[in-house]
Amino acid sequence: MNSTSAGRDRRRKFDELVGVFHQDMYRYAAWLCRDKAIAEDVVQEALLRAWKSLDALRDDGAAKQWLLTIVRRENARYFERRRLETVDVDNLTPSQEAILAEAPDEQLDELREAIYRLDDDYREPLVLQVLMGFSTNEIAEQMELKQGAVLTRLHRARLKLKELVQSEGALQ
Amino acid sequence: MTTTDTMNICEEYREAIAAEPSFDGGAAHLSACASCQSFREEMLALDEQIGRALALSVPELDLPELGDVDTSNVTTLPQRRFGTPAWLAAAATVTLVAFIGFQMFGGSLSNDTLAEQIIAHIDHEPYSFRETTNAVSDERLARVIPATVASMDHSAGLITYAQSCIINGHQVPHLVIQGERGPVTILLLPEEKISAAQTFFGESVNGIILPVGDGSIAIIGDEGESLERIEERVKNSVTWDI
Repeated sequence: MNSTSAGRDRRRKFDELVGVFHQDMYRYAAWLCRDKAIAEDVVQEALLRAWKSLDALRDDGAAKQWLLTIVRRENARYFERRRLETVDVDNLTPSQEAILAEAPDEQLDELREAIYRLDDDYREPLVLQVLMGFSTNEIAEQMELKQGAVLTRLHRARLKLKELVQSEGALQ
Repeated sequence: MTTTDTMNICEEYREAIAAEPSFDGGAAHLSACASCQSFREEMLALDEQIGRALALSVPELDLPELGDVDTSNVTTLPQRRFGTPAWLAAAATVTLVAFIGFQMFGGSLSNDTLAEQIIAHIDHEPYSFRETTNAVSDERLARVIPATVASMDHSAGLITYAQSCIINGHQVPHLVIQGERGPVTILLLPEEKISAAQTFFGESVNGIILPVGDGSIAIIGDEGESLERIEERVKNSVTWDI
């Protein structure tokens, strides 16, 4: 196989991966940084990084975890580079508020805001489990935690949300 | 059992459910405890709402300028020489380039892109065509084939290769079993609906894409391989909406 053909195959593989996983990458980034504009930047950086290191991906079955790991690292780099503070939930910028103004559904709005206000330690495993379909073992790998710690965080996250949602009377 | 014992069991069960609402252990306790049943239902309902709340709308993909990557260092997978001629890998290439032909059973020739993608994909994984007696582990099979897609064991033939691959934009199980004349590739395609079976022939291979429910299955083997025998066994193992 010549290098032109290898390059075409490489690009085709990349396009396929992006087509399948772009939504997951964006949503994961958005819930990590809680800012839609920053999430787009993080995904752009992650796509570039994925393109450059695509040959390191040997198993397509691991593609989703591989891409989300890149998103996670790019998010951390983004905040390091810009020395940004994490989100001040009582003083949101328009781009941060955009996540909360997602859909005109009163019931979901309450819950979305409750998730938004969860500590990062609780919100991230919840996103990985509920939205990305990761097992607790995969979440532990992704977050470099012990599985027991993941279970504890997920348990606490749900109880916090349950309490909050019940107090708001949103959960039917 | 004392009241304290019961409370401890309830507490443990609820911790497990709150950490993972799909947790399916503790069935005996659940069937006897109305309070835990109610808690579980509440958690499942909450999770459904969490999923909806997390599913933010996604802006249209704006790919960055990717630039060239030096692919001269990219090692293409070695074309292995098998005990039998390096038949299938080479044949697949030939098939893609020149010899692919379709015979349709009662349908129009509308899905050649899928067949071409299948052949192109197989061509890129020549290392899967090994004649071997080493079966992949049950754990590996379970990882590659979700329970909602199929429930496969080695009864259709010894499964010697199992990999999740992306074909036509979908992640699909790619398996190789040992047929009578050599390795046979099986691709489970639950999201590729076709109206009728399609066969295709190459210089040394023959293949078929079979409609199964809302999806399809592709089976590709040596030209002398009897695919019918394998077809039935594979179809019977598939569990998606048939």
